[in-house]
Amino acid sequence: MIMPEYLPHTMRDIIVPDSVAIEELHRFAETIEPISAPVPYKAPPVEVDLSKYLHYIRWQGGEGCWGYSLLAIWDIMNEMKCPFSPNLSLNLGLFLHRRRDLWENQGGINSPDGRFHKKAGEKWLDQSFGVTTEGTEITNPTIRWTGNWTFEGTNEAYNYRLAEDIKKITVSSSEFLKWLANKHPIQLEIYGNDWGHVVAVVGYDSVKKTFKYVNSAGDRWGKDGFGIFTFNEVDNGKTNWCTIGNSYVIDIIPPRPVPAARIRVTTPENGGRRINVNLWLSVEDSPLPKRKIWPPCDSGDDSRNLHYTVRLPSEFIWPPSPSNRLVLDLYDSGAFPDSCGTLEGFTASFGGHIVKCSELSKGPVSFKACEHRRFYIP
Amino acid sequence: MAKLQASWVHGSSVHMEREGYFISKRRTGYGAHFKTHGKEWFHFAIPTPVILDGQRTALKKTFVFYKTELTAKITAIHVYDAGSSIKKFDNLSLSGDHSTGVDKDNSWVITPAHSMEFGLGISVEVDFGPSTTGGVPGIWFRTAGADFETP
Repeated sequence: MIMPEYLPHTMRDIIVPDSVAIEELHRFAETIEPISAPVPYKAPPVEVDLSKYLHYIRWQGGEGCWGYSLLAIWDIMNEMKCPFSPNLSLNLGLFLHRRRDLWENQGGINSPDGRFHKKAGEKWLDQSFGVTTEGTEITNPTIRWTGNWTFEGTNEAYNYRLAEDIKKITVSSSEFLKWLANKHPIQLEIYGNDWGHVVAVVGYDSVKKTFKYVNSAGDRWGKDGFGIFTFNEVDNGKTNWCTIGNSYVIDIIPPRPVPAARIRVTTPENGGRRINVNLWLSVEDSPLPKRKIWPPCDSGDDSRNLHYTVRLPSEFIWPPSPSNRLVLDLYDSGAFPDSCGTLEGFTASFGGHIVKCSELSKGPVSFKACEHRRFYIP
Repeated sequence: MAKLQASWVHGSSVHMEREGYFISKRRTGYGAHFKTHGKEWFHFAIPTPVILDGQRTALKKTFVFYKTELTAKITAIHVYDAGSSIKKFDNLSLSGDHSTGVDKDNSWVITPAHSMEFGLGISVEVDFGPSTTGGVPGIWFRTAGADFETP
């Protein structure tokens, strides 16, 4: 369902800097008052770590921190409300960011299902249309690609919507602590002299007096993709390398379970790259093409590990059985010296009903460079 | 003496009200199978002999043959004459295998009989229930139909 008038533009070289989106976010923040965290019914725990609900550590490449940080807190909330929800994609977010000519002047945009989505507030399409998922639409941040509507994305996005626009919250350690204890991860702006960035705060440790945040620079950044702010830094509004900006929380419409697969691949610590690992998901003996779910092409992602949840091929009929098998094709491209790795998990789930790959029952399975392996569920 | 007429469709013709990846669906020669969570409506369009031998027919009874799995249950049956509601059977809690013959849990008497003007629709609300680790709740629809009467 690609709209023909968009086609001439899909590979056009369009770059819109992040500063445009961050300034937009800032202008929106100035129009609203911060809200306070709900009064806790019991004392907040000593430690909260919502990162246990975040499996996929994103690598943004050139731009998109404002979107990837939003998807990180949204993934966490989806996983808490509806485990095994697919990871969300920034395809449409980048599309709107880069193709402003399609919606700015007319104050909204038509989706391919015939609806007009009026721009109102900050996250307007996320409320009325929704967002798509990885695997269905792999986000491709490095090539200068504008994104687009897709058939499968249009059909799934309604399941992943914000209940209302993002809400500004007070920047203070006591408020952050209450929001996190209340199972709300936090989107946080940070600034330098000539740069702006957005990250997602996902936990705290009240003994060490630190907050844990996830960046969108892959899992070789910081400690497995995570960094730390102290309570004092948040309360003072600055660190020795950045100024703390506005912060936001979201409320989602809980998604319905969909049949999904969760895949975990690790590559060597010394030089391994998850983008070496090509993954396809399909239904055994299906005449339909295998669906490529990883990696985004032409990516500079230097992350080691991939822990990724994607929707099953739409032709798959639940449940998997010996006569109805789900197939994961894995091929290591051998593009980097330390290619090869280990498949640690391959699981299918539909609303809590979980079926695992039997080949992994005795532990992870290694693969070599330039090797093609095939795994089945069950 | 009143004449009885009956009209049935196969279960594979049933329609879901909402399409989506949250429903796993399969149509076979022996029925339609749906697996999901929460509440969903399903609709049967029954071929309707509105006039027979110059007489208008009256709807007497409706049937839906089904078999539920795990927590799934039928919670409502609504019967329509085109866009007009004829009868609503709400607050039901029907489960089990009712797919092979007429019984009290898969047939609903329309009292008084309704003089049909247009096409008959039978709508079925299914509450599949919550997520479980043991499997995904489901329902099979085998067939649906209705008895009509002419004076």
